[in-house]
Amino acid sequence: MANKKNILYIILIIVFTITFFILMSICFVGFSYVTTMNAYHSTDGRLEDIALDEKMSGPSRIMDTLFLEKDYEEEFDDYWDFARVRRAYIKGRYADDKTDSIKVIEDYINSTTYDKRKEEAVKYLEEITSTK
Amino acid sequence: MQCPNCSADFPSDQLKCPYCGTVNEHALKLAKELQVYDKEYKASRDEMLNTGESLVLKKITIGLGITFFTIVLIFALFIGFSYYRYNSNSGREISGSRGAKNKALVEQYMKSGDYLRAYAVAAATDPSTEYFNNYPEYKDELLAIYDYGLILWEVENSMNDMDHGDNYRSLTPNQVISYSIFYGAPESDVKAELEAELNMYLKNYYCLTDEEIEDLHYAVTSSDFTLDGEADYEAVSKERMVKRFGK
Repeated sequence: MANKKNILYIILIIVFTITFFILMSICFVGFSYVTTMNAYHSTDGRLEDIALDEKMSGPSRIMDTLFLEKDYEEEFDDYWDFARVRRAYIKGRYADDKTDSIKVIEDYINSTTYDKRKEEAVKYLEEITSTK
Repeated sequence: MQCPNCSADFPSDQLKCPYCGTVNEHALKLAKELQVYDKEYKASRDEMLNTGESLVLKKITIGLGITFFTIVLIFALFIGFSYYRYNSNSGREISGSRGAKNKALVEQYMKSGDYLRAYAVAAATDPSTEYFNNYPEYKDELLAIYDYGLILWEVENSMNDMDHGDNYRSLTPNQVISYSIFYGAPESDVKAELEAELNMYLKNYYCLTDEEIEDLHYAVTSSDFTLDGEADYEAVSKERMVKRFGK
């Protein structure tokens, strides 16, 4: 009887240990997911993301990223400035009246300190004005 | 003790008289009693050891069970809390001074024509997941801006592909649905402004006529719309775009 009880306890210990490790593995996966999501969706994480995107693909994707990721914080102000330019460019390419678009782009070129974005804006302006 | 047979003296614990060999009944009785006692002692000792071992194992089992359960519970609660905090982050800024600040931002961006940014603020800080219940005064406009943003994104992607010489998309069924949803949104000044821009893309980029744009207003599903009587408006639109842009 005592031996049977001992065997039962040993089985229970083994079951508890295995279950513990399985549950902790699941918890670890959940923890990794939550910390990754928190880091990704944090302002710093998104700033890093958009900066990397700009580095890899150029400034043209800024507007899309801001819209899709809903990066509204003031840390993204400079990016939103360029997003306005990009929107003006897309509109200006095919609009009958390009005046508004040209003004937005010119204002940006005159005020920005970001060289790459300025170069891109200059290209936009050249393209729009050449198809006027 | 004295032997009952030969009266010789010998130690009482000897089983037989060393002189005549007579059995010492007293010693024999004691030896048998000792044997029984020894047996009982061993059985009792084994039982105690087993019981003690059982008790120890029982305590270990219960202890481990409680410890493991507590650790897993703490971890799970922490993850659950972090997950709740992550999910509720989007709704964290709807109350108090932050909520007021965000509402002011939406109003500011709407008035300045920065519609996409107004949408970004509202969508990121609205726990109703983009039904904009937290911004009721701009709800209709924000929904229209969202649809506009999607259409603009598609237009931009198509233009990018065309610029790179890729097989770019013309007017797709998804876009017809997006336009249809946009047109069906409640009227507002913002919607009118955005509609003018989107119609411009239909006309000057996708090469639709004014009548065809008007027809698009009445398309409920993507198959309701045709170009030149063709259901494959994607191909018709593409043909026109190739003719116009030479790409």
